[in-house]
Formats: sequence, structure tokens, C-alpha cells
Amino acid sequence: MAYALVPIFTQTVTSGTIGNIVFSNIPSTYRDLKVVISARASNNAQGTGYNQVGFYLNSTSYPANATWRRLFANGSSSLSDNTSGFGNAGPLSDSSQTANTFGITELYIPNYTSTNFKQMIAHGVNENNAAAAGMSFSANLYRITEPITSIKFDTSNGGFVIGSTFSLYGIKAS
Amino acid sequence: MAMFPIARQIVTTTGVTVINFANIPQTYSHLQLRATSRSANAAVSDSIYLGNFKGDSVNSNCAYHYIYATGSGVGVGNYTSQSYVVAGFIPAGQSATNVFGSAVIDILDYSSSTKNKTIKSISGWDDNGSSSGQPYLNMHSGFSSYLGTSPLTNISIYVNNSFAVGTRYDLYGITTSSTTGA
Repeated sequence: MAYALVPIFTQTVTSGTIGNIVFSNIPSTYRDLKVVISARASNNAQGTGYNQVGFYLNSTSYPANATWRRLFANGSSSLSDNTSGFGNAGPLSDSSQTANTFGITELYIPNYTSTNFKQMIAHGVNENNAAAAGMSFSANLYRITEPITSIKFDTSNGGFVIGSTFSLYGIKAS
Repeated sequence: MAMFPIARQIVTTTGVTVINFANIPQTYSHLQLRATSRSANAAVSDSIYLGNFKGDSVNSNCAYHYIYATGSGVGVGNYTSQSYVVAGFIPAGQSATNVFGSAVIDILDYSSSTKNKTIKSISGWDDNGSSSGQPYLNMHSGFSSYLGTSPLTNISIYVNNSFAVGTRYDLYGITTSSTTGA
């Protein structure tokens, strides 16, 4: 039996604080990719839009080719905004939020081996035992035409703490 | 393969007030609930309440947050010190006949002994074009500080009153790779 969802890579932060996570040599044998993230940042970004998991395809030399827009809520208000320079995989928890609590996000990358521009969607939340917690839907565009062979993740504020996990899946088609 | 069916609960009779997944195996990395559900409560919409995460029948110290869209506006909310995590809004007894809400609920690292168990849910339904201001499209997050960093072994699902016949919840276990790709 052929299976549609296949685990490819997983990285877990097991010591210290890590500035970025990179998946390299991604096999080109699937139709789509999915990344599932459970992450917490070392710094405090509460009140500044909350930490986001940024992502970069193939090379960090392409930030000018990345744009995104999102729907975001913080428990008390909502907004829609957009920016450029990196991909937005969703919010993660930070040091201002309840201890041992991690944000969870999912990034979907269809047709990652195609020669078209890469359009992606992401949705994620962080949690907090208080009024403020972030959640977002985002649509991301990378204006690159080569197949995706690596993905780098970082955070806008600090690094990823122990326990943060990043899992890459391949999705097969019929 | 990464996604394994663990258990399914289908409501086949009226008056079912709780759907329970007990003794959840601790052999996966993540859990996912996929649901099509409706409440029998005499209202246009209802909530999906999750609790009893230790299987000890204690429901307390939950927090949750959400954003919803009604078709004509957007709302947000936050709650702490609750008995349950609200993980979605679904149609109820006064919604259009035969309309069930859909939901996908993720619980990552549910067996971890060092992490609180963050719950993320996306849910929605359409009430046959009605514009009654209900929360038709929703995103929720939540966790239980009563469960804390203990492994999650049980999930009980409630609504106000009881579930409508035809409600279905499927629980899946999700695995991850042992290769890092670094």
C-alpha cells in the first residue's frame, strides 16, 4: 500500500538556544511538503506583534523575493497585515508567556519541485494562561522558480529553546 | 506512513452528552482529531468543549483563545481559569437541518513530560447562506494547566446538552522521522 503522508526529517532542540533550523537535501520525490512546528523563543516579544517563525527557501539570498499577508489575532483584537523579506510560518511562544508552553504551526508547500513561483499557506497559534496569545493564517509567496531543496527557519526575536521541534513531511499524489 | 487511525466515535442515538477517547496510546508524536459534529442544544451554534485530559474526570484550569468570522464581521476572545478548552464552534438545534460543522484539532507532543499541551483547532460550517451572525469560521488555541506537563492520556468532548445523531470524531496518531536532514 502506498502512503500519502511520509515523515522526511525531524529536528529537536536538545540543548541551549538555537538561532535557526535548516532542512537540507530535501528529496524531490513528493508532490507537496508539510512542516509541523512546536516552538518557543528565548526572548520576550509580547506587545510587539509576537514572535513569528520565519522561513527561507533554498537560500537566504532571496529575501527580496518573499512576501506574505496574514490574518492575526491576539486574544483581544485582530488585524490583517503584510510584509516582505521572509516567509511567515506562524506564531510561536516566547519567554513572556506561560512556562513550558509552545506555539504550534503548520506550513503547507504545494508543488515544491515545480518551476512556478512557490505559494504557501500557514496557520498557527501560541498559548498563554493570560488574555494575550497570538494566532494567524498567512499566505506566502516566494518568487523563485527552482525546486525547493532546503528550508531554513528562524525567529524574529531570540532563538529556539530546548524542546522546540520541526518535522518535515512529504505528501504523495496518485 | 505518518498518520494512523487510533479510534472513532460515532453518535448513533439521541442524548449522548460526552464522547470519550480513553487510554490513548503514547506511541505517537502528535494527535489529530477530525470531526463532523452538531449539537442538539436549542441554539443556532454551540461550542466543542475538550477536557478530562488525565482521565480522572477533573476539568479545570484551562485557557483558550479564538478568532472567528461571521461572514460579515470578525470577532476574537480569550478566557482563563475555565473548566474546558473550547476548540471550535459548531451548528446546533436551530441551525439548518442536516448541517454539521467540520473541525481539525491538533495536539502536538501530547506524551511529552516537559511541555504543556497546546491545542490548535480550525473549524467551520455554513448555515445554508444564513446571515445570523454566528461564528461560522473559527480558529482556536488552548491548553490545560491542570494537565500541565503530564502526558495526555484521555480526551473527553462535550457540548451544551447533547450531540446530534450523525456526529463523528476520529482520532489519529501522527509519527515523525528519526532523520534530521540537518
